[in-house]
Amino acid sequence: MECKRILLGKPFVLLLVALLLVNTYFFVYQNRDEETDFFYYRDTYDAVLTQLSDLSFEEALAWCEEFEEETNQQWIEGTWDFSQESAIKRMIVQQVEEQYAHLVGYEEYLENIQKNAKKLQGVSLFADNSSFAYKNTVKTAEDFASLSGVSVTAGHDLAVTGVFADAWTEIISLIPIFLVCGLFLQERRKGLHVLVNATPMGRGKLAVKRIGILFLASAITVLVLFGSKIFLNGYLYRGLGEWGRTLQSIPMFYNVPYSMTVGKFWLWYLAVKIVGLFFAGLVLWLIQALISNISAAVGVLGVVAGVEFAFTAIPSSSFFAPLRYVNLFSYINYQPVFTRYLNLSVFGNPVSGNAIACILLPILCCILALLLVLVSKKKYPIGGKRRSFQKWERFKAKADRTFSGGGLFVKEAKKLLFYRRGILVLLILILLLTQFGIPYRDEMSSDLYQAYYQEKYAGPITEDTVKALQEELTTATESEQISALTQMLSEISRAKDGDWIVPSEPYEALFTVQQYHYTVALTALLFLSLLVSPIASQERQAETVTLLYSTSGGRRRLWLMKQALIFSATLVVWFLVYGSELLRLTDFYGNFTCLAAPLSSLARVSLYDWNISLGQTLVLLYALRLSVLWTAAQFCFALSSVCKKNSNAVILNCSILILPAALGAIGSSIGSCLSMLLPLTVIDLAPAIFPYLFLFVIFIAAAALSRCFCKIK
Amino acid sequence: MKNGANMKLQICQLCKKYGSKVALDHFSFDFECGVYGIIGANGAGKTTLMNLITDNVKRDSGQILWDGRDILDLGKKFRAVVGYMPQQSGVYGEYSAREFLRYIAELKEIPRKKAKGQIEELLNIVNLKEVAHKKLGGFSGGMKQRVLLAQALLGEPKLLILDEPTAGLDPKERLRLRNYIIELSKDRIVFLTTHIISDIESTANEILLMKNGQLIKHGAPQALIAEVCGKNLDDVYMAYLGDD
Ligand SMILES: Nc1ncnc2c1ncn2[C@@H]1O[C@H](COP(=O)(O)OP(=O)(O)O)[C@@H](O)[C@H]1O
Ligand SMILES: [Mg+2]
Repeated sequence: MECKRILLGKPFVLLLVALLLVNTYFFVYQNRDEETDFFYYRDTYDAVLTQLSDLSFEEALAWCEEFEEETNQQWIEGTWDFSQESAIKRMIVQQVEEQYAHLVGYEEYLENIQKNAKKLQGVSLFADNSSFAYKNTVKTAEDFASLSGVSVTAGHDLAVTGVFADAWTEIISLIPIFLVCGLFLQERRKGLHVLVNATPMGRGKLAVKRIGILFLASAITVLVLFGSKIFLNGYLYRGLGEWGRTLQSIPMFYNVPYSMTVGKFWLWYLAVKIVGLFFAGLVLWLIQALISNISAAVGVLGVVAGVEFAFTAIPSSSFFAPLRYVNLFSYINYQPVFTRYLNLSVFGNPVSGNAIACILLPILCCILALLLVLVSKKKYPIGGKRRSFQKWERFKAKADRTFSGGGLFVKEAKKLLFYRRGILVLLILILLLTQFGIPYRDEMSSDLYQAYYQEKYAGPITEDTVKALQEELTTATESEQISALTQMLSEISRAKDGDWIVPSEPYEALFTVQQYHYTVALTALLFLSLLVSPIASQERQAETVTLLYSTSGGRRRLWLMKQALIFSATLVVWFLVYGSELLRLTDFYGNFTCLAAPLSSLARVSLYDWNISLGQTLVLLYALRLSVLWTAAQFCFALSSVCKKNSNAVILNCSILILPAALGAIGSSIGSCLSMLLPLTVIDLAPAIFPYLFLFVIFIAAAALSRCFCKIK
Repeated sequence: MKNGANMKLQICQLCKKYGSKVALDHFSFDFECGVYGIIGANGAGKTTLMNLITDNVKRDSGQILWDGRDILDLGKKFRAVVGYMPQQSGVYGEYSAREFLRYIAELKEIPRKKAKGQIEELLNIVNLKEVAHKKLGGFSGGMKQRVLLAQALLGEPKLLILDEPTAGLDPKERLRLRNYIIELSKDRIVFLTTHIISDIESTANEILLMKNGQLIKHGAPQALIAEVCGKNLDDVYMAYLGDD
């Protein structure tokens, strides 16, 4: 029943189908070429291989080398035709050349291993036959001895190596396992837990059943996702009929000491993937079972994953090197473990990394499964009083006493950041901001010189600077130099009294009207409204409003605290979004200098001709942005206070505040009129005051509205 | 004000309508120190009365005076002396019991040090000390009820309003609560609404019987019983409210 509920249930089946589509999409995306037919690459590859199939390895290799020589000559002589077809053919011949070079040299490679071993055994340094180096050499020779005499053959290698071209499938195969673990815990949330787990026997049996289900789910996921990937690559590169080839025929596997065919390798690979995914699922499930608090569980999962990932960087000479192989990531991405021949010292004896990984994997799975059965037998739905938990409980009680203090502001902030997951919103924002680019500026060929002269003569324009610039012009030689100087002089001639020469690049980038500013503004609005949305609706959702209103500080003071909180949230978002913008911008274009210069010095890009300095302009610009964001937050607060549910508040805010802004950002003029996008970018509206007055009215109205809804029930 | 003797809550001609539905109809009464048991069927208007006293609902007409001044004028000063346990209230599922109480203490503007001691004491009284660090989301109905009760008692309110406090409590807890309320009532006004008579019988100094938003009878329990020649309050209830 449980098996049916999970594996044949809608979520799992639909997810698997969706992932299969995604997987296929990635496959097509990976192999497509914009200029040629989808099968062109494959057909050319196939044609070259067929052409060479009658030749010996050496002859084929010689042909490839000759072809490459020819094309190189064409490059030099300028007779190369630069067509996509020629480029592809060249690439393919290089690929095939690599294949044949490997085939030609493989036998010798094997012989060398044996020779080396014999030679080293003769050297006195290694003759100490208890040393690791000695044992390792002997073991290597023994391992590869079994391969002598295998016949390597030419074939469609891409059909195999194409499977390992990207790691997308590895990543998405984790998703169904996450889902299954989530479904296991679903009834805990629904309150069915008490029923299902009535007796320890029942609980144990259920856990065993679920372990089986998890294994089945892993098997299905791997077979569907990796099976399809293997099949698709085999089909595309015509390798489906070649599963009888010796695995070592493919350069990628030259270092694999096991004698097997490609078909056997696929079986082995799928088996390891299945057990590996099962292992990952067990780890996830155990974490969830031990930690009922979901955010804590996510945190622990993150730490476990981080530590495991750090283990992958352990050098192979280290005593802890086995940890590199007995590792979630070596199972998630198994191919490097398999293809790399490396012996680790386990108590002085050489053991291959692959063997360590594969032997320990089932053992670890058994241990985890056993733990899970034990945990699920022990764990009570609410408040276990078992002795083993008592210490933990006492610790939690102490932590609770310590951390539940703090003033009203701290408590409200905690509610929003931790209980309403605001911290996640901020983390995602920070992650996103690291991916942001910089605003561009209209570039000209004379820029380099202009920047140089602006830097050199930065400061108030005097007769001396004009003279000096004119002198530079007379000695200038290059045309770009001349045009830069001419332009500067012509700007100076139009300049007002008191204007400066200002290194203008960062200002230009900041003041250019462009898509970039909309994207940034939209991001700020979106994350601020996500952060602030639950601020008032959470009280309604928890149905505590009556309670709060009957306390002395539950009306005006609470409202003031929430006001302080939304202002702080605004400050944080503003600081993150625009602070990082300034960092990126100055990093690329240089610092904002000449802050005391009047705004009219930047006539070329100037916003408006107010009589203020550049420094004041910057302050004004960012202060306006802060106040527009604050208005947006105020607006979210007001909307939030009419919502009975947090999700409704988020939806309402997004549809009223974000949707028009998003439309505006992609170019709809109605969208940008109805949103705060333009006032937030400031630059578009430049001298207009009316929009800001209007926003001020909105600010007051929103504040009043949120206050009213805090009063009347 | 400190002196319990001049604590007085006067309600005069209080009316409240929801649309055309009259929830409270010219309710008048003077309350002084002691426990007042307010009995009435569901829909009699008890919760409405409590919500009016705590200014959670706007009144249509009438007055509510605390020591001679209207509570709407006193505002925050009045709410500072009120402890309210609403009939239907949620809690924050993510808070632990202790954290929730600290949050309410903060809202009640009780000095932090004083609140800390009080909270531990109250957790003992409502018998939640052992689970005080657990999330309220995992609490049973009765446990949540006790947290809400503790919350009302925070800050030693002069006016304690408990709207159906015993709903969801087991008999042992009820007894405990009853004894505690008797102890509390020495120097404060306690409202206790219920539709379960036995909760009030031994606790209340005065019983108020409500029906359709009107106060139809009041008096000391023994006097009321004597008046209808009954054996206990059940008979009183049946005599006055049991006719439909
Ligand atoms: N918010 C409201 N809107 C409309 N009618 C209400 C509302 N609250 C209470 N009522 C009505 O007022 C009457 C009194 O309700 P209430 O005071 O809750 O009674 P009790 O607490 O004695 O059971 C009931 O008829 C109820 O339907
Ligand atoms: Mg009621």
